Amino acid sequence: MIYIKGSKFDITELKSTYPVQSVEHKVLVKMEESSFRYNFKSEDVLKFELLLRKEIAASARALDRSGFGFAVFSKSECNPEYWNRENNGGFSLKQGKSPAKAIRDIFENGRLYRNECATAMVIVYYGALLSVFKDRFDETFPYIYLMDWHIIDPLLQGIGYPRKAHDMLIGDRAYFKNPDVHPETMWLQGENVIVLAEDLYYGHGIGISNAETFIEILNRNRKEGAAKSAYLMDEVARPDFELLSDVYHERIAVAQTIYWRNIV
Amino acid sequence: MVYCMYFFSFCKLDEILKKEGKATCQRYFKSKLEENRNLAARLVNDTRITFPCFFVLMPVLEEKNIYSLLRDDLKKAYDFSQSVSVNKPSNLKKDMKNKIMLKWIVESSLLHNNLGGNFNEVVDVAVSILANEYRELSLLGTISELIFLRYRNDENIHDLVWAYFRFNTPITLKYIARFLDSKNPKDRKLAKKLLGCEAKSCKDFLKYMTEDESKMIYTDESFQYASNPRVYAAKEGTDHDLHKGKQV
Repeated sequence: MIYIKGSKFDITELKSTYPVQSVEHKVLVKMEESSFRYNFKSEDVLKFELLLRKEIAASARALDRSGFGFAVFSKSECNPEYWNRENNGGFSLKQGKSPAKAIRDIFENGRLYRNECATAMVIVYYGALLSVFKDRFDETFPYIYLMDWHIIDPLLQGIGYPRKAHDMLIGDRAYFKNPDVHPETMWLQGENVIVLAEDLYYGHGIGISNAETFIEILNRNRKEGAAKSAYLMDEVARPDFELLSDVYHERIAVAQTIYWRNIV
Repeated sequence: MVYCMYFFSFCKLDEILKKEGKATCQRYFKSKLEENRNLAARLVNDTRITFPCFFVLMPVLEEKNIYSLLRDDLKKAYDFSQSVSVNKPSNLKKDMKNKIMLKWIVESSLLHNNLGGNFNEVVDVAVSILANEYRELSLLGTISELIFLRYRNDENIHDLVWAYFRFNTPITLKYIARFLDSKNPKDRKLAKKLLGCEAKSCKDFLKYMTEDESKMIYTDESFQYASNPRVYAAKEGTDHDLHKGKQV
């Protein structure tokens, strides 16, 4: 069910503006058919969420194709033209560099980069936001630090807080947990994924596949005598679509986020 | 028990590493090797050598091909480190000798700082094995120190924190709580984050926790999963939640 300003929203007209196979159409229908009540303060916010979800899925697919490599934090690599590789394995934007160009470089020159699955998720979100904000990306996200959700732009903090969700929607971050992971392959304690479609996920290092494949790969990396299988958790993390929509529609200024680098 | 002496005094190579750094230590060892391989091997085989020092010398050992001159436990430490460096399980047999070697890696790693991500990775895997396979609770104090030491140096702590909590006992929280009383604000900030509560002092936290720690359940949440992992949560049917009031 979809509610806008407290009233039930009829999706018929909006639905007709999207092709049947589009992400927007699928998400809209899933929200509508859900027994969960999705509340929006305006139709603009709903449309923005649909747009961003579409771009998140597209960005995940683009990162998968980019050649971006997998490495644990201690072996992470980046293009020094745009990024500083920090002591903790994260990447911080070089002073004076355009955030948009730096993010685009990861997608265009993926082979120059290596990092682990959580950081890849953050890159996916930035890639999507770049497609949405276009020329306004630099002013909206003037400082970028890529290191999972440990150090993250206040506008994106939501992606670090998974919660129980009634539905898993395209563009959500989900997690396959591997409770009996082999103690020497800690990075396989789980796999962060972006939901791309019904039973289709992108996880950095594994690629695009269904749940069964992700579980099978994680299960191959369990300790001897493991009793528990890897599984898909019933929690998802989402960016604060409403906040991002407000920024996008210039209802709130981004000045509050500009100096977050000082608190890093 | 060859791994107990380093607490009392550094060997020659450790002294150089401590005072003059990695490059000088490697150069010194190389020059000794060129003078006399057997004498140089005796230097590295010194029972007081720390794992950080041994790790720093590993590229020289490889370059000069003196693996065969190492004592057996150092050979194991060498092989183990190599496996970790290529992200392959070492398949170390679970036995007392290996446990002592892993403990040496972890305990002596506190004695030198800032040796980089590859070094930390070996220590993290050693902690993970000691937690998951040996449940070596005697190391909780050392590992908690190590977490905060690394954090002060802006090094990565994610895998180390995950491995630490895999000991799967609320005692891990008590060791972390000691840092609520630290003079260093960075320590206090991290302690609050790891404990997931707003306790102001260790005493406060312990009082809060001992009300009934049996109601707490280990969740295995990690930094790989969430910004502020809830490592312990209330068991179903109880209202004892460390994270009450936090975003959950």
